[in-house]
Amino acid sequence: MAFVLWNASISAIETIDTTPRNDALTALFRTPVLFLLLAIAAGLASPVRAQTAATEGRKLAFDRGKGNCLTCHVIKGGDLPGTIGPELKDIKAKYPDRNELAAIIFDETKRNPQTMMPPFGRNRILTEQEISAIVDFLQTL
Amino acid sequence: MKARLSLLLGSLGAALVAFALAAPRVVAADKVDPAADAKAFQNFFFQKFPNVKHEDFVNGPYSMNEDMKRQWQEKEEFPPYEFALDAGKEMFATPFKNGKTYADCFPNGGIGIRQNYPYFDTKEGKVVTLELALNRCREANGEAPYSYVKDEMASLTAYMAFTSRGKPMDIKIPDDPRALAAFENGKRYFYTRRGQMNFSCASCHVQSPGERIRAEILAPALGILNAMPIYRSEWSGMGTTSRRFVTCNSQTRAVPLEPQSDEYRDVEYFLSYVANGLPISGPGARP
Repeated sequence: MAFVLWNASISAIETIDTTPRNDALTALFRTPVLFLLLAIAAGLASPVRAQTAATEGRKLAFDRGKGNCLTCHVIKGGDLPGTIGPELKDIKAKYPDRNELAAIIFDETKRNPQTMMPPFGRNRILTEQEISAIVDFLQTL
Repeated sequence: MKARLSLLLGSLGAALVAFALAAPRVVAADKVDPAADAKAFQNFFFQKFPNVKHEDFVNGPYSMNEDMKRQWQEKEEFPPYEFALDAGKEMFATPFKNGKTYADCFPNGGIGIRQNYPYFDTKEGKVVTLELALNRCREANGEAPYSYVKDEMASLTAYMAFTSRGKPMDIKIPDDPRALAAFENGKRYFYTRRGQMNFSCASCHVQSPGERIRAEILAPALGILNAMPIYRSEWSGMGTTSRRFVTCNSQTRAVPLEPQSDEYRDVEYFLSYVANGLPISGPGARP
């Protein structure tokens, strides 16, 4: 049943995924002034922003047209959850690295080719910002 | 020396035996072997759900859950497909404008034959489903074809399934490379991931039957077509096998094919063949 795993588009989209992130990183280190300004801005805004992002992430996670996480996962505060995936709880303890969580949402087939989980990032069901907001929300569980 | 020689000969002999034993198996793996596929497919479900009676798999999600099964049995007292069934019976008996009837198009007057569909037509070189045969019958008699997905088509197939209830699915694969290719093509379609959600048919109906997506229980692939057509509460009406395939594709954000396209016909051939031996239970009712 090897054809289950076939997906020719994986490599192309992988490139799209990684390129901007690397650009952003190098750009930050190249311009220390901007980096400093950003750090100050982030320091001031981050608690509020993380909170709104988590609220937004919750909305996305429960939205049937977006993350629709409840279809497969039990999530505190969500009605009629499905049973396919594991319950989403103690997320911060399980995934201290938010990048790992983001990668699972982006494309879990990379880690587990047999997974039921749709590749939300690779197949453009969610944008990177939306995934990031959902990660913020998941870390509150 | 002698001992070493005999050891050498012995191991050579053992290798030959091993090769001889392994060789046919390698050949078998390369060959399309529908009978072996069907056996493996059924065993997978029988082992995954040891408490489900084999003939119960044709009741879809109701076979997976005791509470739902009870609710369903109560519902069967006044089945939601009854209107379609009555309409289908009447339509089936009503002659076309030329005086002929559906019965003239089918073996045994169309009664008790659902379990033989789809079949592989060696003249045409393609799979012929019951829905397709019904529309061909209409067209051959100067009548306009029906929609493949619901209404009249679902009524007619409901009646034909009802007269075949309990008969074991009996799909044949004739000794024709095109029939094997159709089976293989249907199998490939069934296991291939597609669409934005990246699901194959098997993701839900082989990997996850009995699990819930939100409040809905996923049906096992084994025997899933034996219950067709179905009344679905979600549709507020009847739907055919074609309708089931189209909605599965669109709900997983894949591009649905045309009803009765070659690939859908092949999937139906594959899924029906691997359910051989399980009883026809259609028309069915589903949430």
